[in-house]
Amino acid sequence: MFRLLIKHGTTLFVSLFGLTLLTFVLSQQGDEALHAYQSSSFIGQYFEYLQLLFAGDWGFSSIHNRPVLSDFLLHFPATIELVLLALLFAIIFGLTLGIMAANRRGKWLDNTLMGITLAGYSMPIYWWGMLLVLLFSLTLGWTPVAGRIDYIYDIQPVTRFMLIDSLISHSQYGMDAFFNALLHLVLPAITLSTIPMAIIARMTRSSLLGVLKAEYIRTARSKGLSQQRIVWVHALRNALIPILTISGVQISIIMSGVIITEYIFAWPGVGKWLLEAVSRRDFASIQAGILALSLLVIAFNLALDLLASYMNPRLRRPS
Amino acid sequence: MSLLQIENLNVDFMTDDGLVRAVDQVKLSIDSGKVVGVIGESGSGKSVMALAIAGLLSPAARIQADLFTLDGQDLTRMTPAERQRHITSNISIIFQEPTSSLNPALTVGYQLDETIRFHEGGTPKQRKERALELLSQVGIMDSKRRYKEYPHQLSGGLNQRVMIAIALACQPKLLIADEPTTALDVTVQSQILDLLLKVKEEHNMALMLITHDFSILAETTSKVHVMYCGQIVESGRTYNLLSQPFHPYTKALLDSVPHFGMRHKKGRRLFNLPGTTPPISHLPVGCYLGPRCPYAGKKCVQPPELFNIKGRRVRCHFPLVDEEES
Repeated sequence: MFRLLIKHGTTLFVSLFGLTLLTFVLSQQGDEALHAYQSSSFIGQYFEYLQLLFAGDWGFSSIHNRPVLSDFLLHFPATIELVLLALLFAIIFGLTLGIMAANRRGKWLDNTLMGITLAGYSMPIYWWGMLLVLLFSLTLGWTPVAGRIDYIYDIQPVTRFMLIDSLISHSQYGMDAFFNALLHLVLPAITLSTIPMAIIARMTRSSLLGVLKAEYIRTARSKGLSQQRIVWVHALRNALIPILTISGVQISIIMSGVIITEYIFAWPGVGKWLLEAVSRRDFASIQAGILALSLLVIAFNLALDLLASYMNPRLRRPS
Repeated sequence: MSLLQIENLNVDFMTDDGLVRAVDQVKLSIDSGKVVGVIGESGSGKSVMALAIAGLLSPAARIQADLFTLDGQDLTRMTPAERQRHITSNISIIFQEPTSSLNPALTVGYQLDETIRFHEGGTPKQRKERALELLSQVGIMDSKRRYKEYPHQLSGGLNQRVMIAIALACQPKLLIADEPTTALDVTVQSQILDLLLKVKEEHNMALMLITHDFSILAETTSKVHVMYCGQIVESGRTYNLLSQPFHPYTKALLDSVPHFGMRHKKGRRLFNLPGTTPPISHLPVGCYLGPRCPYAGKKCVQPPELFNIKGRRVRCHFPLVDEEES
């Protein structure tokens, strides 16, 4: 376990270094200097930048006239909420569809599911998101068009995660506010999760089919175990390992998708904020937004790597 | 009465070359408590036959048999689910590659425990005791430590012992060992063989030993079946069959094995049959050995039946029996 931490720690360190270097260079692109650095050398300024970053001074937004950090903290929870739910959708439905297809390989269900996932995979999400709005919000009227919650609900921001805040604000609304927030979240999350879900489903299917041919599956059969047990315990545990690794890549797909999705659904998150900053050349906000999204990607990847090595005992060192 | 009785077992696979018969008219019976050997080269159908008996072939395989009884029950009359249940509670099988036959993501203990849970049941504590007992029965020292370990942390020999422990947990009446020692070191080979014979005695099982090593058969089995191109070409008591083979193929196989103390003469080579084993998708007409057989005659374009000669079954028109004796 110790070696594992060192290995991942090194990767983490290198990626953080590259990332902060990039945002540092970005932060110097604005019309006016982000910080008044004392040092004159590039390296000295970089270290000063790092210090300020850790101290919580992320610069000053030229368009909002506010510290970037406070803006960021306002938008970040909304994005995390959306990304987490999208990831949850992608994993749950991706795995389920993949397992269903693998269990009926070559049958019509398998072909149908694989056809659907291929369509989902090739769908441009800005178009797909608008189609969903057209159907569910405008035609059927099941879900709201945009935003995080209806304005009639007056929710106190505590954690700034709307689902949690609406639950703990035990006010006159009861569960209504929570369901309202959830309804606002569903369409953006589905839009965002479509491509990763399709990839995970296809990946699960092929990985599971490969594993089901393994010799240890034959052993499990000879022991008389049920088909469910063979698939869910013996095969899936091994099939999940490559899927976890591929999910790390999905995170970055989700992160780039989140900008578009937030824009379509007027979701007040980092993506929308970043887009605005880019269009108005607010470099302080851009570097903060990029830093935040990239940190999320790195954190998720690290978590998935650790999970994968937990699942795969061959990656763990014998203690 | 025999534990396992099979007559005219055929296994077909649909391939790009059409329907291919991997196991052809196999007749086999195993008495309880006996050790039976099956020998043949790679691709002779011995593993497919074993998998067919153990009910582990993929649904793509078509299995037919005129008679297939196991422990007094007719398997041909059962539904697939009943058959599977009856087979798994009576037959265990271990394979050539012990390490890839165990699930790499689960501990040895878990894989043993779930087998015990399925076949014997009991509380977690009882099961764990039983598992540790089985592990020490198959000669695994510090079974408590091994219980927690993963297959990749164990050697091939140890993993094969674990496989045997798992097989024993099913309380089978027949243990099929499909080349159990081929992937192991020579010293480990003999340990595993000794272990198989030991647990066979202790658990009063029958043992079907599949191999391509005559010396293993000579040491362990009482009866041998020789397979070629999916057919059993000769069966008989081990000693008789090895000392005086009736089928030209058996003789050729035996002659191709170097003996200890064999005189080395200049220019003398080990015997080998001309040609190569035909692929089962393109078998010759008549006797499958015909084109390669040094004893073949005109009759050999007709497929030979199994003949009973001197307590042996031989699939040959010209068995190598001394005329004066018979």
